[in-house]
Amino acid sequence: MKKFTLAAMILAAAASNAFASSKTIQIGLDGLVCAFCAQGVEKKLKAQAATDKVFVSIDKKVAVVALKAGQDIADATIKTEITDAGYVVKSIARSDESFEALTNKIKSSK
Amino acid sequence: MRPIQFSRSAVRLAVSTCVVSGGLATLPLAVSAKPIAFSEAVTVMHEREFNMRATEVYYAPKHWWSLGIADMQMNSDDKKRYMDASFAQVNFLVKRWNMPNAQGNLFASAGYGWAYSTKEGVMGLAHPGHMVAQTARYSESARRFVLQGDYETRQFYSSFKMDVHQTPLFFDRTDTAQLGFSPVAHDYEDLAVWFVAQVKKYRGMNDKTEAGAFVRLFKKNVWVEIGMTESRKSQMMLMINY
Repeated sequence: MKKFTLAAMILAAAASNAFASSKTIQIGLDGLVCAFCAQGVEKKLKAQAATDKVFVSIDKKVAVVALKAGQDIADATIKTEITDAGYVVKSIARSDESFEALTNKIKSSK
Repeated sequence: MRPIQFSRSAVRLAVSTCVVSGGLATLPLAVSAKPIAFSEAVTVMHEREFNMRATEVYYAPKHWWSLGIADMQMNSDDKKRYMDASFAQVNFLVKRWNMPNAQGNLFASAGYGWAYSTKEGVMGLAHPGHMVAQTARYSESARRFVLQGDYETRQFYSSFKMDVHQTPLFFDRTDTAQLGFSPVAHDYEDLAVWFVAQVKKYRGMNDKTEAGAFVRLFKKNVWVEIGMTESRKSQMMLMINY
């Protein structure tokens, strides 16, 4: 019985991880060449209800969004908001990496 | 649809800037400054030259258009002509090219407002038989048309601008071209430092062509440009986006 209970608990934990939402979204962008460009993208992404934090890198041409627990932003919404800001979305990738880990990786990458 | 929202501090600054600029000499929009920063941005700009000053405030409901007010004042070099004009102006992003490492833009603007102008040395009839030079004063409607474009990367900047002011009495056109270079490919959190060369051709209020050199400092939402023309006259421009 104890083994069964333990197995059930392990399975439940694995299942909850499988259905856990992503922590961050990385968005690749075209047209990002100046601080005003980045400011516009940052403002649009920060305005989303699911956004916790935003990082924009002109150097790497990406924006990273940290999502609030259990929340997400649809790809279509991201594309609409970025297009409305005047830029082009090249890629969208979701990750379980923390915001800090992902932004540090981006900053240190060549 | 999200309602238009202004932060209180941005509105206060915009209003106070407009009130202050109402009594100041103001001037055409700086060449390097774009009339639209980004969607839902409030942009405040102030520029000063030897014989011109301008303050402009715009709001952009979308990234492709903005509207606002421009208050400007200009003198001729010999100080015999003067114009103080205010415009309600709308700006359009006609075309944008977003590339992986560059961006190009084409803007067009149109303004309508009112101008107060003076012109010294106009021959007038002081009394029967005697013509004397007088200062003529005019208060009349005014129009403004602007066409500007730019192409930039993280270290190279180029732009042109044609700025026309027209009243029934005055026609003034300023064409400006700029080339800029930044030694460092700056990122969003960095202070970007640019070195900019400029050529301006004036027609109307003044008739001359003048070169200048500037240092541009740019970080996050603040842009400051300071420099000097070949005739050793200083120029500055400040732009802030909210």
